[in-house]
Amino acid sequence: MKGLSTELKVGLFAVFVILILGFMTFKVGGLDWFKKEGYTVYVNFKNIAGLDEKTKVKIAGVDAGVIEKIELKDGIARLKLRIRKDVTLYSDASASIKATGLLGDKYLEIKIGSMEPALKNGESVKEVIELVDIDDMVRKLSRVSENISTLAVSLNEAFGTEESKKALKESVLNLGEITANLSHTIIVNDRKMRNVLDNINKLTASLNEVVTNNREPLKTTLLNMEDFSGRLKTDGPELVANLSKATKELKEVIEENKNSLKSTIDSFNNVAKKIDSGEGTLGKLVKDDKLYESINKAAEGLDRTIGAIDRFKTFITFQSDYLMRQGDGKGAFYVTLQPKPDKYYILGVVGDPLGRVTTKETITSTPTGTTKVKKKEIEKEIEFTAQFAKRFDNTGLRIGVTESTFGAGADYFFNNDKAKASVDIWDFSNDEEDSKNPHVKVGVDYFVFKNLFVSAGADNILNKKKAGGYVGAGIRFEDEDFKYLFGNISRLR
Amino acid sequence: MFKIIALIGKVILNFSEEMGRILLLFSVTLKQMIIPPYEVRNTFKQMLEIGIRSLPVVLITAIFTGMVFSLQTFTGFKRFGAETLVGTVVALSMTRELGPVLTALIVAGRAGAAMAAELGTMRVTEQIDALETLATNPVKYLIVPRFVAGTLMLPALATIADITGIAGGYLVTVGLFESSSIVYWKRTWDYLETSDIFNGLIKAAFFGASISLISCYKGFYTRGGAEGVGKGTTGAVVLSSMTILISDYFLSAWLFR
Repeated sequence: MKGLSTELKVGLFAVFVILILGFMTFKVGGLDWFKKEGYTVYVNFKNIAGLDEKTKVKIAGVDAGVIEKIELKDGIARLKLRIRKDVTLYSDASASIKATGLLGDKYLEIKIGSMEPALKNGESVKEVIELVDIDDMVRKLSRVSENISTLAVSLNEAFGTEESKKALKESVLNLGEITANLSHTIIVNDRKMRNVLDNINKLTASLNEVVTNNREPLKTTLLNMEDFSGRLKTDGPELVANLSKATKELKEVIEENKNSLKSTIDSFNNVAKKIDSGEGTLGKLVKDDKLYESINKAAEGLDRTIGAIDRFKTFITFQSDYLMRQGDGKGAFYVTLQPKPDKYYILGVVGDPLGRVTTKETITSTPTGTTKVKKKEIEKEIEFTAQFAKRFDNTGLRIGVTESTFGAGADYFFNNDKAKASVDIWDFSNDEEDSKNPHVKVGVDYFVFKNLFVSAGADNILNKKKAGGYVGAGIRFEDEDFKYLFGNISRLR
Repeated sequence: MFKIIALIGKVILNFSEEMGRILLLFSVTLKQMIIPPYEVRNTFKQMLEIGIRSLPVVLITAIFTGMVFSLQTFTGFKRFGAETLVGTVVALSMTRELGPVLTALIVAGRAGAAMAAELGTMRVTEQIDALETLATNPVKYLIVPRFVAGTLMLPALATIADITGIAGGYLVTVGLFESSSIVYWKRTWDYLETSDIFNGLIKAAFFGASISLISCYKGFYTRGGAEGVGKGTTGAVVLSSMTILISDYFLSAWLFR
């Protein structure tokens, strides 16, 4: 160290300290930057006693994320969870608060469920198992004991009075009388009884005879039975083991779902009570089959329609391109109707700066002769696009009307549909001087944000005098209202 | 009777005078710190003296503090089954409290005393007066480098003390008590927050500034020969330590709330 200058020593020291500090902050706070990965899911609790921000979220006891934020919303705790990217939660996932150790270090346990579709970013876990409130439990128990004591009181009322005692006594006396009568009857019918007994005797004798005559077959039967019981002896234990295993599993299932079972039974009880008293639709339905059938039919139809509407997607796109060659802008508005993921219709309006080109020929006569002057007039035009598109995996093919002429196109989607490379060809029968060839446009769209995309490419590449690059941007979003509008139309049909 | 009241008055007067002088010196130091030329070489020398030369003592103090801390908390926590939390406790107390305060006390005893003695000797041997006759500002030349070095080096030393203390806790918890090392680190980093570390370092910077300012003040205004130097040095260490401990409470109350 002697050879080192003061500055070098101090510098080395500083670097060392900064490294340590960096390491510590990275270990402590740096986790946050990494945890930003994954996706967020919400869950609402009535009572989250013991949970805190940064508390672990566990699935089967394994860390799967953290509680990122706790908010109070209308008296209910709303937890924002950040879940690891490789963990999938399904729509029937459930959340509950659990504790480890004696000190009750609380954490949030999630069961991932199994019902498709999987939860997406920003959705909520709907099944919530609340903490069992001990006060609540005591209250319920005390209600039960009250009921029992009421029962005891009514029992007492039924049998405790003089009257009822008398009635009981009478019953006993009656019983005595009945026995006496019975005995009398037997004595009176002594002869008949004897006959009956004789008959029985005879029957046994003949039975005996039958047995003696059929000794061999009987023996085989007995042997078979013995064989059966022997087999039962060997296979029996396994059978019993299986049975007991099944019972155990059943028990476990019940144990696991105790809470939900309980709540289910409770709600069933409620419903049953209501039905019993004829309340609500169900109550009436019990009596009126016709109504039930018609509702059933309606529900089926609705189910089908809702399914279709859910699949049905509508996108609205506004797009504006700047054509470099012409130095002009081109605006477009498209509505994409997508009844199925692989089939859609594109309807659109395009404001084309190079809409119609008309050539006017004027002949002027001058003393020296005649000169022909050709004058081109370019008019802006509103053009229409209507295409039918079909998508095969990453490739989409489009055909229909492009900018008011027949046209076709192809798209290739990549990077999770964030980017799209397209080729369009239209305007096959153009007789304009500069653009005899069809209009071909090649370009790439890229979604910078969820709804905002930028595009760039080459326009009209087959016509040398008009070819040029273009850049543009646009917004594209899904429109729910539109979807339901179309959904309703389809239902009305 | 009057004597006692007069004594109280004298104590108060002395205290106010001293505080006033320290604050005056502080303002002069700040002013000289901003005005160029800067005493870069001198500052680096003081950084070496205050920071790097104090490193061995700080390391030893920190590692043993961490060790004894986890030793005590482990046996205590085991009684109610919370031994997994030892890492958290050691990390929290080292970063928030023990790292900065112990480092500051050590630096006060080591570098603070040296500063006061050095400046005191210079004062009584009239070297400071000689500097003034050479048109060198003694505050700029002597105090500013020490002040800057103290303010910068204390957080650095405290950082090292933090990590060393946590490592010391690890040695005892995992080595001696054979607790799980994964659990120790997990609990340490999970419950520690960035604000714990940085607020501790803010405290350390404040301690560094007070130590260097008080020690320089005590040395700069030494009077009365060799005896005066001795008194000044003692006073510097005592006043620095008291300032550290008292201001620590208020800083903690303000920073950590």
